Amino acid sequence: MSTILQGLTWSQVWWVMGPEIVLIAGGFVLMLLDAILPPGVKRATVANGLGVVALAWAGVLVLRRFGQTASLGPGSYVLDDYALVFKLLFIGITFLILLLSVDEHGQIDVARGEYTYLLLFATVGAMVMASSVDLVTLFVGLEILSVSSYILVGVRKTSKSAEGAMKYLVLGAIATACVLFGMSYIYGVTGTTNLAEAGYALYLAWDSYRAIVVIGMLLMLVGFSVKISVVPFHMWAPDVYEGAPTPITAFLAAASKAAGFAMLIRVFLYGFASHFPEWGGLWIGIAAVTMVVGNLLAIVQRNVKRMLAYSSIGQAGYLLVPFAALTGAYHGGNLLQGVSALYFYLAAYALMTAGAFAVLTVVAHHARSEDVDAFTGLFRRSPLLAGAMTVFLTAMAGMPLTSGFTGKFFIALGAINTGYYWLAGLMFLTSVMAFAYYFGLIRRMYLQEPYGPPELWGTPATVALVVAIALVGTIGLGVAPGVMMHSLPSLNWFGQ
Amino acid sequence: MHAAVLWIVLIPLAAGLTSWLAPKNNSSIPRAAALLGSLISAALVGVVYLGYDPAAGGVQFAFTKTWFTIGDALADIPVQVTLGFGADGLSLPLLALTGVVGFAAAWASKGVRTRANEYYGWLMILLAALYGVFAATDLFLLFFFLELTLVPMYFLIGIWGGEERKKAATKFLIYRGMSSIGLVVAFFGIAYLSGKVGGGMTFDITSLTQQLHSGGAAAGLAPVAGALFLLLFAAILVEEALVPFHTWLPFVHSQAPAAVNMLLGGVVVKTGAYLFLRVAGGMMPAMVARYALLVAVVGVINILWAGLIAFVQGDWRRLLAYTTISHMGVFLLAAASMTPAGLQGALFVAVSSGLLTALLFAGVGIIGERAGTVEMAALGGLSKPMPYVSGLLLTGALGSLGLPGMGQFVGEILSFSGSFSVFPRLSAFGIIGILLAAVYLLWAIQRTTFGPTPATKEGLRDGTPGEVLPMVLLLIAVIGVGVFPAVIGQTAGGTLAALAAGIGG
Repeated sequence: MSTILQGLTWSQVWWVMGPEIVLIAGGFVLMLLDAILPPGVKRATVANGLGVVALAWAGVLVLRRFGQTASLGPGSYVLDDYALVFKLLFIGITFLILLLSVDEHGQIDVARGEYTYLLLFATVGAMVMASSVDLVTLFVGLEILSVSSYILVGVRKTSKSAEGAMKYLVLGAIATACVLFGMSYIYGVTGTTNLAEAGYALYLAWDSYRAIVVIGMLLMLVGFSVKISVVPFHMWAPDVYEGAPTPITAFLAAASKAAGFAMLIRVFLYGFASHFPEWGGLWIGIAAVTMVVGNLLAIVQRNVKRMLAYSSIGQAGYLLVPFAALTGAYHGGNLLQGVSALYFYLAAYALMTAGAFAVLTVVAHHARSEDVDAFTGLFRRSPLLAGAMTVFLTAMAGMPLTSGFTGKFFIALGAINTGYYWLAGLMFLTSVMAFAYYFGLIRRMYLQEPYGPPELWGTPATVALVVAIALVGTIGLGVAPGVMMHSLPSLNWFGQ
Repeated sequence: MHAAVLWIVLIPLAAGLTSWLAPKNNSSIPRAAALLGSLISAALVGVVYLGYDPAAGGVQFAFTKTWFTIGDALADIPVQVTLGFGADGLSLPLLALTGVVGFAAAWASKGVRTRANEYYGWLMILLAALYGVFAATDLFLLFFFLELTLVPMYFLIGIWGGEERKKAATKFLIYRGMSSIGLVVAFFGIAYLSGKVGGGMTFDITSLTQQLHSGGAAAGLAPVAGALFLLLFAAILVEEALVPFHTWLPFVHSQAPAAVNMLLGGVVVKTGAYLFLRVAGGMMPAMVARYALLVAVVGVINILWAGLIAFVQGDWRRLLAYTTISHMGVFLLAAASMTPAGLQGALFVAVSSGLLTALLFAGVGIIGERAGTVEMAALGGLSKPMPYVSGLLLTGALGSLGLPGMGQFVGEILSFSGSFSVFPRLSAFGIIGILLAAVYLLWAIQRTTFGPTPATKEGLRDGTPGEVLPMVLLLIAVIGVGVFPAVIGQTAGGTLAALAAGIGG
């Protein structure tokens, strides 16, 4: 049974929020250093070093908390395995992003302290979203993540960057407003912001206040949909992804999206599950449309970042499948399987996305272009990068020996398990449509000779490290998915 | 010796990796690795073939190890996905086909000089994947290998193909990808639904087949069995490139390099035939019986349609593509009958058509290399400058149209004797296909090798012994099957009889 910590002594807060505290403290130290460090010191090195140390410490703390449950206050901030696996994912992604940012290939030419602490704060926001079981703390987490991300997108001070940041800010603000508005309806009906209590109250109130509850849910759905960039709330993603520095794009695609899913499950499956099957069918439609639209629009893109943005919209559609399928036959086993499959694919997706963007930073730097043509003949210029990119792209396309294949398989199995054969079929159909652009890029890398002199392209060590980690993860999860699939169901997901 | 079948899959994989790791711009090491890899794995197939005990039946030389477990796949029952390899009477002939064609194709790749390590690497990965399809005893693993064939084929066609290679590679990928969707939904649907009622989901082919034939599981499948079968059937039609989903094959054949064509026409499209016998016939015999007429009609349409279209082909490779399609029509007609003779015939047709297709593509490849074209209109009188290749080509064509003494003859006799007992009228139509084949193949041969030799073609060198070796090898194999049909009949007999009796492999 989980302990509820009412007194909020330091040791109790530390026990539950340790990793967050470490990251916030790291951020503040960086802020301070930014102000007081003499100009001669290499700020980038200090910032990155400190960031990595903070992340590593937070990661260790998260690992040591596994299997424990506790909650702060009367159930507003919990420590359970569900939150912990997501926190581990966020920390891992941020670590990769920091590594990617070390090199100037990621086109970051700003004060490093600022950049790094914003990234740390964004991670804290995501972690808060995973741990919150109260609408208010959830909202706080969402805002920490969002506000940090708005700045990070615009950090480059180019017109593209500014345009992206502006779009992200305006749309994000609207999404936030929708979420808040929806939450206020739920609060109005239930009289509480605690998810568990509100869930029970909604269960009772469903018959008399159905319309208000559904409006509240729909408004939250809109807000969350923007965060995870699913159709029809996806329009911002390509512009923002294109405008942001490449490491930040990777962060948005991987961490921000994962946080959105963490929140989605926390709210709709953990909190308001009782009547989810009755209105949640909407998510099935969203999943289906997202898979189709994302993958179709990706085919016509010329800019690789935009292509990956649309591809990530399509991937969000796959990720929604296990979530949406739970409206079919809802019981404990399905929930566990669905959430495990979703998490597995999120981790797989984060790795392949980070890897793909890492390769993109190198290619874009050397070719001075993010166009698909920049990849032409890559196998001549850097066979290893081309090989790695091929693995990431085939993983996204769902080919065997990669995590994309096993991940899609788990998701499809879940959909079949709840009776949505057509959804599983559509998932594979859209994957085949996606062959067109994934293999289009592969074709450019291998089937065409490079333009101009075929000089070899070097890869900075840090980027190579990111690529290597992503490569090992992508192939590892494809060849031996058991390692992860065994441990996931044995977790004590929601502390029960 | 127990895990011999596992090694059959692993050896080409190792050869492929060796080839990739070999120094760049060196074609002899990759070639040696590929030849050695394909030879050793083929020899291992031979060992397994001879060691297989038909009297005992079932899967032998099995290797099974848990790959991963899915905790809550079916309510609360975990599902194990196994790395299961093994061979039974149905898979052995196809493994042998892969072995012979695989080695022949590796040998016939001598002309490849550009990016040789990549080429041989992909070729070996493809070979490993094909072995894997036939050797897998787990449905998930089978699908895994089937998907794995797409990537090497994509590169092999896209990099070393003809003018429109990129388009062809993409076309191949999209068509085969589409068929995968049908297969994956059908496979998992079958496993899931039968597991729901039959007491536990499994992907192990033997257990799943037994489960389905013991009754309970079939009841779970019943409500959607028809839909799943039709989906599976449609996917197999695409896989085998049968009318109306055949358009990709002639185009891809016309663009792919010769050795890849040997594997594509010889083995890759035969995976569909294997799936029909293994999954449709083995797991849903009731559905095969229900839709037998449909399957047979599609078969006859293929025989006639492809036979007629073949007449207007000017390009040898396209002609051969249509020949394959027509052969596979015979396969469907025979398999639909689900009689022992019909199933035997179907298997014979699949194997001998594979061997003959590879043989003809090898010959056409040599001609193409020498003459710079495989357009019949531009050829003619080749028997004078190239007697050996022309002779082998003629023999292959004769085999393909069903000359007694060769595998295809046995296959067709058995096929039609099986199908006549069930669909007499349809089979009568189908048999016209043999006449058509005789006409168009002989006509094509006549336009290519007989008549006056055009001045430009007079100086062509004949195939060297090294070049015609794969053709000779394939010819020996196809004559072997024709003269001693027992090599397949005896090995496969038990498995096929069980299949025909509707009790599964």
